[in-house]
Amino acid sequence: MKSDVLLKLAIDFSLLSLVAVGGANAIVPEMHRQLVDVSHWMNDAEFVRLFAVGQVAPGPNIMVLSLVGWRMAGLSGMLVATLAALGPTCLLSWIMGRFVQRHGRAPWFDSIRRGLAPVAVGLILASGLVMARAADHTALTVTATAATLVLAVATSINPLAALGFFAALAGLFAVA
Amino acid sequence: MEQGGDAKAPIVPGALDLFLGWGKVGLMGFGGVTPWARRVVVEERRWLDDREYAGLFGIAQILPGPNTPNMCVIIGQKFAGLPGAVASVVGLMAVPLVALLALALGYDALSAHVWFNAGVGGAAAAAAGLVIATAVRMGRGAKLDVVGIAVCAGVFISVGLLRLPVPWAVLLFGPVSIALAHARRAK
Repeated sequence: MKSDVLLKLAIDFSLLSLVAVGGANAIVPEMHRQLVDVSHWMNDAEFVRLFAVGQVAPGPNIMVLSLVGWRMAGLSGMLVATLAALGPTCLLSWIMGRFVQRHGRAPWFDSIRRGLAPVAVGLILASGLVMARAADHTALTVTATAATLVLAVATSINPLAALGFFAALAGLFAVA
Repeated sequence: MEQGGDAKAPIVPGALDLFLGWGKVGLMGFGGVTPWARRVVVEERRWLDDREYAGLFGIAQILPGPNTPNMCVIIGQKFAGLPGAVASVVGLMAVPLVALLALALGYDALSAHVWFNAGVGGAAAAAAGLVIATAVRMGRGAKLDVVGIAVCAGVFISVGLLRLPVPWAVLLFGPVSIALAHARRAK
């Protein structure tokens, strides 16, 4: 039973990170689809919570997959999920790094870079929408999303401050 | 190679330097590591200047997978080969994994409290805003033209609103967008 879960984690998360053009945030919709809609491993609220914990914790945001691995199969799940999320793409990066040292100035290479940029931006926007729809149920959370968006676009204030502020505010409201 | 007028010559790091530098990026990166990676690599350690960094960042974005670990591999390889790449990734991931483990161990106990769930919910809502802001900043930095904005909107609508699976969207829009970018360039 558990080895089935580990195998599924290894395969699913390798594939997930291999399609994550634009980074971890770009695969939020796909993660949501697989974990909530297809596998029924968790509900909407739990997905949002796990994702938030993964984002608030230090380290690359892809580590939300490590956290899902932990949730599904404990420590071994966490390790398998992390290796699956990083292994294949790091190998690709290694190959690409060597390649770039030779062909980095070629025109077709520049076309690939330019062509993929808007795809990445669109994916990340979609992720933001999926996250906001899952997280924003009250006036306070809507404000948190909007205020952080404005702050992070218009200022160079560390966005961690906004995350901490709204976490504290929401926590206080809940017990007040 | 362009040199700044001052004494800020690039410094060539070894595997240990890479491990420590990326370790710091991982440790500081609450809410994401992207801003910290540039800060440490360019400003603090001066391994690369801003132009080189931006170039490598573009390449890391072509690649699937998490951007910063990809950068780690490419920068580590550039300076110290395989040991450099491995030291960088392990440095980036080691401390955060331990922190995440501690958090995960406390998660079940903590999630029984109303204030904890509400607090994480507040952070999640703020994080959603941060993700949208990242897309806005990236779009501005990439200087998308009309075709680029159209591709961006197409991806956003099909994935965000119509819930098309991400792999399909990448396969559908990626080649078209690359071909269009190439055609515009050839003019």
